Amino acid sequence: MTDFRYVGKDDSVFNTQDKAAGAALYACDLHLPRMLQMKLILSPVAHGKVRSVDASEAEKVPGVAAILTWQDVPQTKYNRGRVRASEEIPDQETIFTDHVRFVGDRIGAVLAETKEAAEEAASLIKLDIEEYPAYLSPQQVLAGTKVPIHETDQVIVPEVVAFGDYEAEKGEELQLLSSSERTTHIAMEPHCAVASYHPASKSMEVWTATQSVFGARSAVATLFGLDMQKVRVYKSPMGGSFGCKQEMILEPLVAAASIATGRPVKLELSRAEVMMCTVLRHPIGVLTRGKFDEDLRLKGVRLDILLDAGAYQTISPDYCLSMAKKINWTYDMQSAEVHSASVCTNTPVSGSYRGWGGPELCFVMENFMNMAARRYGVDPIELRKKNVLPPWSVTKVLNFNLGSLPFAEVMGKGSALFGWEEKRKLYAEQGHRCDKDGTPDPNGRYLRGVGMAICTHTSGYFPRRPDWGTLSMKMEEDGSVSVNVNIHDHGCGSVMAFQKIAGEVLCMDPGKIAIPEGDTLYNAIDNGCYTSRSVFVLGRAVMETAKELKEQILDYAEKLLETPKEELVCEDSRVFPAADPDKSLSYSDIAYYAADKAHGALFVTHTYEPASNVGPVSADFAEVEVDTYTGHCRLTDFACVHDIGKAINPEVCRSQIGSAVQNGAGMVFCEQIRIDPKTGAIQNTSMERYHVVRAAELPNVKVEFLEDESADGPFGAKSIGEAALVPVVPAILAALNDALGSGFSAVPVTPDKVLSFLESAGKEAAR
Amino acid sequence: MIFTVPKTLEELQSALANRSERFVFAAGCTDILPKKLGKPWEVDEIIDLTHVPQLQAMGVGPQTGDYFIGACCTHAQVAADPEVRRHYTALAQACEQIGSVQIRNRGTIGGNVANGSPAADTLPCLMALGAEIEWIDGVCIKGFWLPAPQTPSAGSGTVVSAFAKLGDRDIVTIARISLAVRSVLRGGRYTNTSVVVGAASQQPFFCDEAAAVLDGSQPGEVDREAFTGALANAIEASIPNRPTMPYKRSAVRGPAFDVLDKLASF
Repeated sequence: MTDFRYVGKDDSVFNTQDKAAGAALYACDLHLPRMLQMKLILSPVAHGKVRSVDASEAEKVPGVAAILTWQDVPQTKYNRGRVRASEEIPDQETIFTDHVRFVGDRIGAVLAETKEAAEEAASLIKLDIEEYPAYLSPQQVLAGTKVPIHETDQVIVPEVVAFGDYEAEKGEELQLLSSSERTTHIAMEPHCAVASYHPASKSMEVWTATQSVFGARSAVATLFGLDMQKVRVYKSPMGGSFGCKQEMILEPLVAAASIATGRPVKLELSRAEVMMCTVLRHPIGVLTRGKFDEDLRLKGVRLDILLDAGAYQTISPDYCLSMAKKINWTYDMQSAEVHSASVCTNTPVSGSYRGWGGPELCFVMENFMNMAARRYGVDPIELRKKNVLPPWSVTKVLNFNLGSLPFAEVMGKGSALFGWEEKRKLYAEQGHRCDKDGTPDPNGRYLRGVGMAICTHTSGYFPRRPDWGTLSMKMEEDGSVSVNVNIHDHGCGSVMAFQKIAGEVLCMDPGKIAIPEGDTLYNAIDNGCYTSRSVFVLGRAVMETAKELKEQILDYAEKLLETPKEELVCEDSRVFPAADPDKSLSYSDIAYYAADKAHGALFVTHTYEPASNVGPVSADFAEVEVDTYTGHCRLTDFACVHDIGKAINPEVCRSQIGSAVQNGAGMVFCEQIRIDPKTGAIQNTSMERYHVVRAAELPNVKVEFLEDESADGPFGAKSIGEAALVPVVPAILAALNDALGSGFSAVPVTPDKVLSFLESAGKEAAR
Repeated sequence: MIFTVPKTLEELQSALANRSERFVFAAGCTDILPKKLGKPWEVDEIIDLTHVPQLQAMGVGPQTGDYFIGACCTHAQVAADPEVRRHYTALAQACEQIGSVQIRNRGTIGGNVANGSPAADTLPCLMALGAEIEWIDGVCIKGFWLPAPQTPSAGSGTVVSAFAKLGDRDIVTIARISLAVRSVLRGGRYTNTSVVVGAASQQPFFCDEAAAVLDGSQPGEVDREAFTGALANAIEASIPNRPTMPYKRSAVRGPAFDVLDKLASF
């Protein structure tokens, strides 16, 4: 492995100290002169027609500046998931609506001088709503809607993704229905956006914690007929996203309100509003069918995916396809068919979530493989070894090379790191019963079991759509560097990663490299922070641009030091001949020379276009303990190996995995947005009622990185942020099933389900 | 809004006598702040109880030997108090499981009771231990009197007690079922046992059937299934139509065994 100066070394993200001190400023901290506070008026019913809005009492609240409804803003339909205006996806949503489609749908908003006044006024609005029948599940919608939720695109059946002939495959067919419930992202920072419209110039400024300033710009410009160059969107510091801030949810609302009032407007949501009216992870049901031959080789699979899109389709049809197109990224099979349907219901909007279909598909396929391993009585690793793709395979969907695919290595190292064979042997010989500390005890109150899962993920858009990274980089006279790149740090350290990449190439302290975040006025157009492309695509673009800047530095140094540049060495912001280190120039010397004597700027622009999309491979191993008295489950051990190519900032990469384990454990054990079957309202809109797994409940997560530095990412890096989550849920679920001897394939497996299973199993055993 | 900060018992009594119609007490604020966050307080006066020494006192009463715990003693203080740990163990165990470290350092025992949450952890303990509330002017809790460990009913026996709870997770959790048991070990057997079930229903309640299982038993020989069964039946009777009843009925086994283990560890 190459020994780097900055890359591969642990560093805190750039604003950690500010965050720890409470000094970091977010969009909610922004105060503009004359700014109004916005409070949404949300539908209390799941489906209906607003007959009237009585704002007479609300208008009396001191400080109320305006009360807007659907009648006061454009009724243009749009899709919050549209990043580029040219995307052809269904338009169903409007800024405000009188046809409310879920509890939390936006009818209007109050604008007031203070947040308190806005909230008080909103609470005094009287709504007269004719209620329609509410359809709270895809099954209800597919059975027929007396009053349609949407006139068009209520149900979308995306193209079938297929290769080979599944029906013609020979072998025993196994079936498994896997499902997961809607969850919320729990980014620590609730959604907030500020807009300021300038009527004289017909220009707009928007500050928002988004994953795509260009997406927000396009949405605002097209909705309100503004020139794109007159809509400037700034990416504000972000307190986490996990996908919840990648769609254009708040930006159109604050822009509409700012245009309507002629004043700057801020909208800051509460935790309950984030849960109700932003975006949730899809509830999903997938019937998996697969055929194995006598040697337990997977011949083919057929998936039937049913996705609950919530009240508006937004990105859901594409989500189906995102799952479908990954069908051949892990297992080598002759045939596959993926059928899917995205169905609108009268429930909160489903949408983007960390991994964008990758974790969902992995959940389905790995559940299926674990079920098959149980059925055939083979070690889950052995079953996978027979079936994983060989290195450098070309996927049969989209036809591109997936890279080194080191499945055998990640499973082998992961197995050793976790103690897979020892644990399996222990449970096989002494049973799963144990006491609280895990000591085998045939009469123990607890059960323990182990499980594993593997995956491949993505590192960018290639070849699904054109991808690139265009940026500029300049050196200031003091030798510091500024980078103009469309970066959106979620709080997970991509700015720091880019600083390290540039610092490594330029041989200078990364702290002297400024990388301000997304700003549509200055950045070149970009695809945004999606599909784990930041480091792989933009990071590589930073690397290539830094190389060009370094060339400029060396061109001047060659002249000044009278030494061929091949013989020059850069170190700590200085250049010197390898043979004579004392004869050196600082970068500052060169920058001043360029400006004073050579009439030149140290400035480069570069466009990098990826020609590959390597699949980062990983294997996760979990041990779960079940309390047979209470049904409580907890993760007692976890180990994983990630084929990361090169960890730019290992500590942050390990943190990504730690958060993913917490995230996935929550999905298996407890996380679930509960919808009242009578009203369609969310029953648990607070963290008191929405349970997550706490960090203190997690074991020490053991992580190992496989670093072959072979990929096209910067220094060989592949993606990690989304990939970290992909196999977590099926690995933990498999461990839970191993402990219980159960076949759960629907998550979350809450304590009541565990106790019901144990009671049924007990009755069964007693027969 | 008026913010009143009495520094003595007399000042507190005066403040209570002159209080606004719409007022609220403030102590640890671990319940009221989350409730009021971002919302109008809708009160005219906040009376701060945290500066009155008598409300923060803990110690043996001068005559009866009963033990006093001031309403503004924090959970952390109660949990760490040697006398409470020794003689009123259930209460110490409850206080050391409430919320997080931060909550335990701020939240008070009086607030836990006055807030009136069905899931309050100290309530079943105080009931099982036979605590009595001392009031100030009938509106403010001054503190709790716990019976002296050597009472006539205890005779030559030793008072033992324990607390266990089941939440949605192991730590930082709100109880779904809590159990407090107080008994007197005499001649190696449990006698005069009280069992209180908390959190399962709207109010904590005594479960005499479960107590009867313990009475006469030796610590290592309690019929655990009978104890659990009695609790399960009581829970079913208390919330027959609640959707959570089947789970709670079944899962009470966990805290039931836990509380017996803790009780037997004396």
